[in-house]
Amino acid sequence: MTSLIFAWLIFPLAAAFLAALLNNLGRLLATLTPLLTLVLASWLSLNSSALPLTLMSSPGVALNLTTSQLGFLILNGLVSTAVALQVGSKPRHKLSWVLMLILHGALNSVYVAADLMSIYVAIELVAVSAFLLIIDVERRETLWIAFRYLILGDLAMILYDFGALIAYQANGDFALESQTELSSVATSLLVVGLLFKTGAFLTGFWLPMTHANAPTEVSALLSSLVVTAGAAPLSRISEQSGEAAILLAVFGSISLALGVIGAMVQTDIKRLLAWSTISQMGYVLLTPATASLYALAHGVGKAALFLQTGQLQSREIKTLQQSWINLRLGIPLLVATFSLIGVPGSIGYTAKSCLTGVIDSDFKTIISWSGLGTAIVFARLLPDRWYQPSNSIYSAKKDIDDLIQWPKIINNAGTWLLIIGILSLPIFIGRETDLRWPNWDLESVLMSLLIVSMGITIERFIRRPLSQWQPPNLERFVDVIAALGITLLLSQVVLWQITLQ
Amino acid sequence: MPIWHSLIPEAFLLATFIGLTALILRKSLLQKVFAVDLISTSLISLFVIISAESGVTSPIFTPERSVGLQFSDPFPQAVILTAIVIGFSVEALALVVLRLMAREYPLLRVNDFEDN
Repeated sequence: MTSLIFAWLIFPLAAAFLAALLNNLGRLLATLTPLLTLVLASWLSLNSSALPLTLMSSPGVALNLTTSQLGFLILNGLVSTAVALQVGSKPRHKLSWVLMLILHGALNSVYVAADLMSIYVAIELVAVSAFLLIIDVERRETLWIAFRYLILGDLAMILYDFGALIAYQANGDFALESQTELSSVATSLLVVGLLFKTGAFLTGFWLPMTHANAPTEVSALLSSLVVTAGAAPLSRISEQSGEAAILLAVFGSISLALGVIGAMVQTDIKRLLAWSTISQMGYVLLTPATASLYALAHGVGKAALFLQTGQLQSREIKTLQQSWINLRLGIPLLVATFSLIGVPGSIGYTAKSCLTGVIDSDFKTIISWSGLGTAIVFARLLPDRWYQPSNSIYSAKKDIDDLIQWPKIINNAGTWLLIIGILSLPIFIGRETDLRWPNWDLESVLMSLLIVSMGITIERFIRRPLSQWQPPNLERFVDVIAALGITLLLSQVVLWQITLQ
Repeated sequence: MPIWHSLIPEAFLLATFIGLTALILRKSLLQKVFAVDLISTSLISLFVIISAESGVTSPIFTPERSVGLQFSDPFPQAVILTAIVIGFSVEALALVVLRLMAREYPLLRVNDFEDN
């Protein structure tokens, strides 16, 4: 069993070398390798007695696979397959497939790494492959974006390493299991380094510019998968240390609000989606118990949204509001949006109800209403006016014809795979938890109807005042470094408050 | 042991702060890369200093060596080797991108890229 898992862990990297040597195999390998991850993760979730599985526990390197990481594995398999399908026969350059395979393998190793240094190495591998994917030599602005991402990410990981060193000095081991006495300095350094990679709270302010300027399919990978390279180790650390868990819950809930406010004032759809990622990462950080499930729900929906925006006629939200998004693009957008809001029947609803199941009771109401912010943000994509009465029948008929054309569906296979995932994953996950399928009642359906309609109404009222407000630009190079410093100080304050109580 | 030995970790922390200041204040991207290099070098040195707390003899066991020798801790040294390689490769990649960016803006000032 262990050797099988090792083979699976190494396979994407071996496949990447093979794809580099034989260019023709690239597409096939990049589509099938993530499926292997998906099969393994599904098999493990059905035979959960096999977990937790210790792969290696030598003093230097500790690797294990736990139930709490399975959601990340399913996400990685599903989204990597979908992006490979969507890229199809037109990769941007020969190395795209190789880099996607390396990214997939590196993410898998982040999820199994159980000591501070292995996590560091795996995250840096993720960062380097993401950096190379962002670069598009034809578009000059991507060079600056990629450079910024690389250097700031390196700085964040150096902070993390300082934390790891202090933790080693206190406990004499790098393994997460033995971090029984994490000092507050070590905790905040480790957390801040990983928060940067997650793209949550103030340290996530680098994210909108990066995710918005990257090529579409890379944005999908960045926003749904690369952010989990920080979230997965954070969930492990907060399982280990109660103080880190409280710290992350505080930062997560602030991040929730920050992301929604940021998304409300954007004029570009990709930037709106990127700010929404900051808010959704807040949910992921709230409790370690549901981190992977929520990351799965967010990642599948966000990847579908990003893949669809690549085909819209414009990225300007104003233009989109004045025109009609046709059904072929509109239906996937709508399903993914509903999943992010948490409408019953979608994976987002399952994740949110699991979250309210484990969280403190004072917080429950806030979480169940927090979908309202997301609803307001995504209501901005709705058109100003519905069909023009003069040609309504004609364009509705044309839209439906357009929807069921096979070549177009095949061209859009990745998005449809993700949409199937959004709708079918609740059935599989419902088996594990108490949420039997169909896992909703009349009350929750009415609740989500209320949230969606309130979101649309409120958005209409605040559209005009918000369009006049220019948000301060806090996404420059120096601002991100300042954000790292401020977050370090804030985490010290929060940890100090925790020890006082 | 001379008294300044105990100040070595503080010296490297000071180097970290110098690096951070340079990273914030310097306008040239090339100098920012050097600043990150300074920070990561002081991190590496700290790892070496911490592992030398238990002793400075290299941790290679042979029967001829007496047991009483003070070995240095092998783990931080081993893991920092990986970090050195990663840091080096990250900086190499950053310099390659800078070379491409310098075709348009040879001075490589931050403002050249942030304002548009």
